[in-house]
Amino acid sequence: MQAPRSTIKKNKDVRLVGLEFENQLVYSKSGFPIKRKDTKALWEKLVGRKWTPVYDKYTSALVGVNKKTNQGEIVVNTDTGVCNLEVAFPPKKNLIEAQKEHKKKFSEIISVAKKLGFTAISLGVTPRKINGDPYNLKTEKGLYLIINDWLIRHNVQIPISSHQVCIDVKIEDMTKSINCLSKLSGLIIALTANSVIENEKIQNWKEIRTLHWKVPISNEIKNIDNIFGGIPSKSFKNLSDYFKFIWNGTPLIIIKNGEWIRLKDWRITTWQYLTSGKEFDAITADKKTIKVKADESDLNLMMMLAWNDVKVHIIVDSKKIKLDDFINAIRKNLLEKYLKNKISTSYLEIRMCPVSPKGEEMTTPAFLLGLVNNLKELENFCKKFSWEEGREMKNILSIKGMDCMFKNKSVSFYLEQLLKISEIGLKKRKFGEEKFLNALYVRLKEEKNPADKTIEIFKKEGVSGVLKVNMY
Amino acid sequence: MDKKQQLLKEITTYLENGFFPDIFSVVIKDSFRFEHSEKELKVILRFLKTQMKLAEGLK
Repeated sequence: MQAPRSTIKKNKDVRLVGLEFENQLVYSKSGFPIKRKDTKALWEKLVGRKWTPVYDKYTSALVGVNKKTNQGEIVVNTDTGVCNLEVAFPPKKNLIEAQKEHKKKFSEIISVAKKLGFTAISLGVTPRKINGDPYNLKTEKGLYLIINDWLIRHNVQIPISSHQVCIDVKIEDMTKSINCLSKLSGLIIALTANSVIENEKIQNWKEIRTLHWKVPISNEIKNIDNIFGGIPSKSFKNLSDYFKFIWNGTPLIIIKNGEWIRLKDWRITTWQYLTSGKEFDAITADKKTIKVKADESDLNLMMMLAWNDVKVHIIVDSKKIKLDDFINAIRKNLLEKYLKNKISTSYLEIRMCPVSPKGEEMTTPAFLLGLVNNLKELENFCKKFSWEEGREMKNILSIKGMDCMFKNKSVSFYLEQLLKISEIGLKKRKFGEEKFLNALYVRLKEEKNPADKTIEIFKKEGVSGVLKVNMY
Repeated sequence: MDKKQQLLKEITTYLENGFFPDIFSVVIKDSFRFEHSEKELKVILRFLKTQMKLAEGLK
């Protein structure tokens, strides 16, 4: 849920970039998703190679491994499904360093997996059918024990993966960046879509992951679209406006004294929980009812309880914050001013990104990093589209990819401009990261994203051919 | 057949028409272990109808 923290000593002008990459795990021979016992075997073998085991406090299951590096911790576990490997790297100064670490550590994990008879694939959805009850593939985490009866259709996310990118953004640039990147979600997907074969057939979506995220996963969570909505229903005037919006829904989870809990009454919003000053009934992972009251220690978690296309991460120093002052700053729309000198980290987790093909893992992170690093030009570009058009584009381009016109122009016309904006943004950083855009320029020239290429392979060689090309 | 049964039947028809990935059918049908109001069933049906119409319309 939160990318690992970096231990890099940086000056305030260095924009760090962190990678949180998910890849589906499949059996090397059959291509079917792996089972719980296989993931467990992977963790055990990695522990044997001096990775630190991570046991879930509630289920006692071995759910992942970590490794300390001199620049922070690498966190390896599975997301919703045991067949979805998630590797989160500590933020780096640039993508050259990030690539180096990814190559080294990901290769180590995959070499161990291969000896166990399975591997990762560079596709955003597992192409073969999931046989049997998906609950058998649910990761054994206390978090899910608490929310399973709320998120009753959450398992629809088991077969999907994404490559999330975490980019440092100053507080004063947060809202502009959220608005721009959210609005461009569809265009970003058009260039990078990579989940088109599911159930061994070509789906109607080039990025069917978008559709998986649209399934109404809960009946009960209040205003669920505010926190699981992809592109939110509105743009934001400032950070206060953003938090008022996401806190208009039920708090999915609360942590008190290290315990994961949730409110008993789903009709209570996060805003009510934080502002009422009252005690509420809450449920623990083992279904006990306890009393809970909001305080400053809730803020860091509450600020990140949204899974939209662009997710805010702000870590405040809770010793410098009073809950009432924080809430008052939001009421007065002055949160940016209030947070000055009170935060230790602020970054955006950009979540609409499809899984990149093998060997092109740094392309989407580079594209996004360049856009964020050239915010003025990006804002100008975004004026071409209204908020509603941005939402419409995501729906259409997740289905059509680049093979489409929007507002009487080809999607490639817009993407070429976006790539240029990103290239300028990367060149300003002077790390040579713009080289990672080359593969994206090739896609633009060919007018084919990874999903288009997968369709071509599927038509010639079927699902086995797709798996062969995409297996690590 | 009451309204809820009618909605469930319609949802099942959409889920089994081969348009959506199988896991949608498995997970959505499984969720009916929990009590659903008419309104909640309508949300699911609307989702299926809208998405199918959108994708078919763009073919």
